[in-house]
Amino acid sequence: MRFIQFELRLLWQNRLFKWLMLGYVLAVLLAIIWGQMSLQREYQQRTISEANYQTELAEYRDDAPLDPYAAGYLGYYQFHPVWQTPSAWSALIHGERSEAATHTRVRLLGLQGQLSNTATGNIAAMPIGKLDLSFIWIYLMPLLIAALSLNLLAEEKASGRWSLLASQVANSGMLLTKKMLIAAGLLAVVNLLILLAAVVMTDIDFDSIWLQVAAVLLAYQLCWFLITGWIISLQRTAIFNSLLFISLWIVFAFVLPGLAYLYQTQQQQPAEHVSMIFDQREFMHDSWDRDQQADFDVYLQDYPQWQTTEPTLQKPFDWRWYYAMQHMSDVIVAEAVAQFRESRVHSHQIGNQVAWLSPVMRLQYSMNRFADTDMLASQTFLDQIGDYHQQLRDYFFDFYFFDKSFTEADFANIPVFEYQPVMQSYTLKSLINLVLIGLFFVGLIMLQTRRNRG
Amino acid sequence: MKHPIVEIARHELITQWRSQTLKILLPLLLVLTALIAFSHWQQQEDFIEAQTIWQQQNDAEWEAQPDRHPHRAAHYGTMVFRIISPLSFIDSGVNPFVGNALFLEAHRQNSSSFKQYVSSTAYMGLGYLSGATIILVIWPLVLIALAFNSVSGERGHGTLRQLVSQGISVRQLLFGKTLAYSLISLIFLLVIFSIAIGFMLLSHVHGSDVLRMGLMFVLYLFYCLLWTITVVLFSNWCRTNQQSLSALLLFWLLTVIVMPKMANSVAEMQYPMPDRAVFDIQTAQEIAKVGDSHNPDDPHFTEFREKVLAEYGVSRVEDLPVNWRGVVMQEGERITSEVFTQQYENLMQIAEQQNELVRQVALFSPYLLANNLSSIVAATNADSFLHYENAAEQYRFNFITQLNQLHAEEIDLENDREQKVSHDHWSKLGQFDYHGPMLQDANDRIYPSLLMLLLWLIIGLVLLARSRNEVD
Repeated sequence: MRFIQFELRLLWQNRLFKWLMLGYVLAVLLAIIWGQMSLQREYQQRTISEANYQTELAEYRDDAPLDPYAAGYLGYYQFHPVWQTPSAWSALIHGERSEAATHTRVRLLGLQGQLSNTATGNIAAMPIGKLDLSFIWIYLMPLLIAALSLNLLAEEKASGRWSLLASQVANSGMLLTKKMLIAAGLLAVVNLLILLAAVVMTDIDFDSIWLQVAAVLLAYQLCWFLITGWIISLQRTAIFNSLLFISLWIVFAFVLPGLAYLYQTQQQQPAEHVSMIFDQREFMHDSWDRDQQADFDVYLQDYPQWQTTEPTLQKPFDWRWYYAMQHMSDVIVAEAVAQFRESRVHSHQIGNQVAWLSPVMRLQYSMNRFADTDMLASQTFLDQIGDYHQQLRDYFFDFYFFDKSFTEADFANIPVFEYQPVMQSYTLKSLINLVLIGLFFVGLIMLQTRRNRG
Repeated sequence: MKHPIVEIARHELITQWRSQTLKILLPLLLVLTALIAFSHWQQQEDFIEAQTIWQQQNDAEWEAQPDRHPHRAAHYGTMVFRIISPLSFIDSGVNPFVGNALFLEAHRQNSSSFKQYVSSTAYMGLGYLSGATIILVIWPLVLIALAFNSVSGERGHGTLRQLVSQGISVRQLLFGKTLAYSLISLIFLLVIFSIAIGFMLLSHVHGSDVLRMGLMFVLYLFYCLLWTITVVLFSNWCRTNQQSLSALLLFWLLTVIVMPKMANSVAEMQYPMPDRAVFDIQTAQEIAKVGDSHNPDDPHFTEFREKVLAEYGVSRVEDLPVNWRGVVMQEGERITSEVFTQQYENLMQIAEQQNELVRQVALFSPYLLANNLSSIVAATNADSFLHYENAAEQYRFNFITQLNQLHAEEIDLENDREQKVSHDHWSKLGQFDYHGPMLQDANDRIYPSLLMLLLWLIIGLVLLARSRNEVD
């Protein structure tokens, strides 16, 4: 206990340590505040779109009941908002959320053409990205760990205290380990306090996800402390230690993620999914020049739930035929859409595999999963929009195909989109991965210690 | 005897040549950069080819349309595919982050869709792995690793005292060291650029691209020189090697990684943008405020009808020599296009405010300045993307206008929907003939950053020149 007190006092007297910790905590607090502000902004945007949606619906409702022909226009003009509802954790872990539109609107027309909307945003800022808490944890914390502990031995040696200390205790390695444990323990406490502060400052709860985030974060921290420990065990100069550490950091945080991306993209043809738009458009417009009745007959055969409708189309224009063709334009590109989906998920999986080699990548995949801000979430959002579009179709087709008028009461039953987060968890995988990397470095340390003695 | 600065530089180069750090780092980095440049060049060529083929397919399908009502053709629409700059393989700029296909149709302004690849770029938190990033982000680190002890080491070993006693000033020493590390940077850049030029020769290049590449080389050389001076200065200011290394790493971390990201975050907080849904809503609301072409009682269109009727001296739309519906369609298109352009400009205005804030921070981060210049010179910056989007919207408007004209002139008002125009018309609509912005168009963007970079360089040189002869 006395030892701990002594070491803590020693750390506190170290100006560099104090400033680094202060800088770290300040950056973290700023990141949490900014993250929470932008999350609130996302909610505000949603409020605006919902208010607009209700106003638009109210305008149609004033004219209710709508005959099927007028209701056809409702389907044509009315956009329905869809939102990939952000999790509370997304305030801290922005992940891939800027890469695709997370809040957009769809209508009853062919869906795929509507989904390729990109997010608004400052294009110039995209290559640089923004600072969120996950960035500080994933990329900057290892450097803080290095600053706290990398040169413990070298400094003690330089100050001349080491020979004194080492002569007093039997196992000098043990002493060093203790010193590192104190630095690690201190950072762990600070990080846990940050996580607790986040519970107060943001919408995240103190629940099982909180505990999992904390566990993975601590494992990550431990991993980097072990890497630092291995470097110290090499017993080289402080300079060598710093350079080796920075090199490892660059490999884990820059080279491996970059090569993973390169490998991911090498698996794809550039712009390979454009044919979706071509095929959908071609089908949709050709249908105007084809025998509409024949197409409609086929549609009724394929979708027996609408078969009891009046089989003959009205002249010159029938909404039923129009929406049937819009639906079919999605159906004929279904395979291309599935391929697009497959490409995205596959790419995510490749990255996830490479992450076994890099604690940095592993933590990022893990964090983005906790916050539901990764590719899986984004793809699930698209899948759920597809399901929602199906619900809209089922709902409106009932009026169009069975000649029902759209009454005031029917407005209340228009399906509403509600994003359901992906439940998959990477926690165990991440913990195993980080522990394995940690053990690898423990092995290296043991090997080195034996070599040092011999 | 040679000039002492040259002599010092020569000595430093020989020392570095024997040192392990350089022997490991330089080949490693050269191999990595060459590998990246090769893959990116290959991907760039594939992409340009793919985009060209899609464009051809689109144009062919457009012309192969049967006889159609012009408004049907306007909804069938057309697509334009963005061809990326041939220098993307060195500095990819915004390319990996933006969509490259625009679907152009009547009434609607779609956003660019389909990124080059579906993979996420979010995992490259320290920067997209490209030649430019290696030069601008990683190379300074190598310079730090090589030269952090170039002066502090001499001081620590007492060799500095010896040198000074031999009549060499600290100033000469600093310039000599700067010269040596600049030469190492030069070699690094020369190797990379000779590889890059090799790739360029294999593809179809214009003279302007060669010029741009030359400018990139000069820019990077300047940037490396600036970093060399920084490292030598820090090494001179710091008492110990360890101090020098720590201070330099911290400086690198702050100016290359933390400040740019922080600046972006602050800018985004300060000047928030509407998201996709809200932007679309705002645009639709603004259009509705002007006039709704589908509403027969709309005041704007009532007034417009009176105006058109008066112009032709008739009292009923049926008596007009042109098809009233086509005329209305065009008026609607004019409103949509004007309002959208205005709204989009507003959005870009917000982006510009954000960028302005970042530019102010950039005054203190040579990395941001050089990064910005590099993407401008490579024609992969945000402006060149927006230039393309604007050109596409103008093309869309002209394209739809021509179709509306066909509607007004070739289709009778009575039984409008049942009529078609001959497919001969399709090939008469011009194709999207796009040329990216010229380098001189970006002059007002280039000069401030360039001047600031030069200012830093001058400050650095002045600091070198004013270094005192302190030996301890």
